[in-house]
Amino acid sequence: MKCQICNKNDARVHVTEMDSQQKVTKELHICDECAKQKGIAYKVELNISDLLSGFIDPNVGKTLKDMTELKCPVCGMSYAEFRAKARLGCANDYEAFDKGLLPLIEKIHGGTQHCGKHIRGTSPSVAAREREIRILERRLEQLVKTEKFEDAARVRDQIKSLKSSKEKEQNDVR
Amino acid sequence: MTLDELLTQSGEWLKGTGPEADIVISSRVRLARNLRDIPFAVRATEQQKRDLEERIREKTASSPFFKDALSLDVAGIDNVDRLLLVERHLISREHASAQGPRGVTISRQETLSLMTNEEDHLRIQALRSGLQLDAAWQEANAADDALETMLPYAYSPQLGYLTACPTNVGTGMRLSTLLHLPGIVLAKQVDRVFHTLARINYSVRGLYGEGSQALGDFYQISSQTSLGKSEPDMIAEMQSSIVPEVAKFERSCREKLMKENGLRITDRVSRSYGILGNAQLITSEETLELLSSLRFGVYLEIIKDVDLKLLNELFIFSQPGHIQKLAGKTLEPAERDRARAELIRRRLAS
Repeated sequence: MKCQICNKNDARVHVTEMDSQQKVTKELHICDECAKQKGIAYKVELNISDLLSGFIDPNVGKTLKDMTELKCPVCGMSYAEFRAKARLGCANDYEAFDKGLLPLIEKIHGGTQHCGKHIRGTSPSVAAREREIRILERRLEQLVKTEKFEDAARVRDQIKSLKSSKEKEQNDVR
Repeated sequence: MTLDELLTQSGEWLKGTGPEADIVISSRVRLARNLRDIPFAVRATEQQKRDLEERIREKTASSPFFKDALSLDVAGIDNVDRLLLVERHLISREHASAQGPRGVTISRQETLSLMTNEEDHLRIQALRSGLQLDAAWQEANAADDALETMLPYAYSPQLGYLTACPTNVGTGMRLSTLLHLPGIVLAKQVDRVFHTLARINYSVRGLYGEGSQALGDFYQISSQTSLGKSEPDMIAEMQSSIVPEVAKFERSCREKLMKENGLRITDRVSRSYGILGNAQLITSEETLELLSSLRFGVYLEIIKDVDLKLLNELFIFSQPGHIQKLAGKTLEPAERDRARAELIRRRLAS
């Protein structure tokens, strides 16, 4: 079936208009392009390029200029290049661009903590500890902001001990 | 095993067996993996890609897990062979049309394929007939375990398996099921179903993945997110609730249609069977539309002498790559239409 607006492309978007009694008042069969022009949103899949182009990370806002100039020391890819290509250059980019990537990953997946299969040498407890550390770090930030320094000091010690046991375990693995 | 042998067998996933096989044609689990010691695809040089090909070939050749597997240099084979692999769901369309060194390793029963130098260094894929995501996961997971002992994976305790695109990070897993939904299409409920699925992070696409058109009422429902849940949890959600719900709705649409428009549907099915059994020229698009109708007829028991295995095989073997491979040469579209019509007539008559 051809698009009822441009009459050129195949109709792939089918719109049914109904009145308040759920009676069909109008049917329209149109192509993707005309649907886009008419503003009929039809999200069938998550598109990373669209996400990136519409995505401005609130944390990065002020330092966006610095971010775009950021380069991965391992593969040489810049953050600007990642935003343009929507693909990363190497495993180290996740660390090099973490300020921009973590909010993006949160937006895509609704979280930033892996809960699945792990490779040898890591354990779920390591993952759980990483998560714990991040939660505590966020709490620490809040406590400092609200000037609750005593609580903040306690949380800081907790983070310290979690981090040292993590390092010890990593050394054991090596 | 050779590439030509693919024509003499029909792939485990085409058997037409397994739970919900009347609606769910196949289940697929894909795992994306990368190595930490070389750049990802967009940054890797030709030489680095060639080295990766060599490295994977060596490793898989010595691994009992990939015994009897077929290793192919995707860049080195011709277009018809690449098309055949796409139609067989053994490589992605992107992998077929990409440039540069790239490969695929396929298990004897075609249940497992390993693409190299795709968007990620490794893409492990397991396929099953019917709704069997759990069985597909077990095979993909075992292959992943075997590969992990031989290769240094890019992994972080926080983000899991690191992938070229952040949409795949975490488990690196995408679950897909191929469904036949003529009832939902005829009842004009497609938009409703797809919007509901999109809201809970499942995507719906046509037969051959990203951007492809839904031909013959065949749709792929896939998981969209890969981080934050364990693999067994993601599989359980899709296998025990999402897909069975869609299948249940499809069945209720079919019943309602039969009640309200039984004669019209029976007429349509019978006409489709008539055309498929007698046409002298037929395009692949028309074939898919008519096979969809015939499949509906088999479900409704209007057609009793055709089984799901035959339908699934016709569905794959009537596509351009298979038709040309069977003919042993490149065919012009008009020649293909003739060869296709002949194949279908012969298979339906036997």
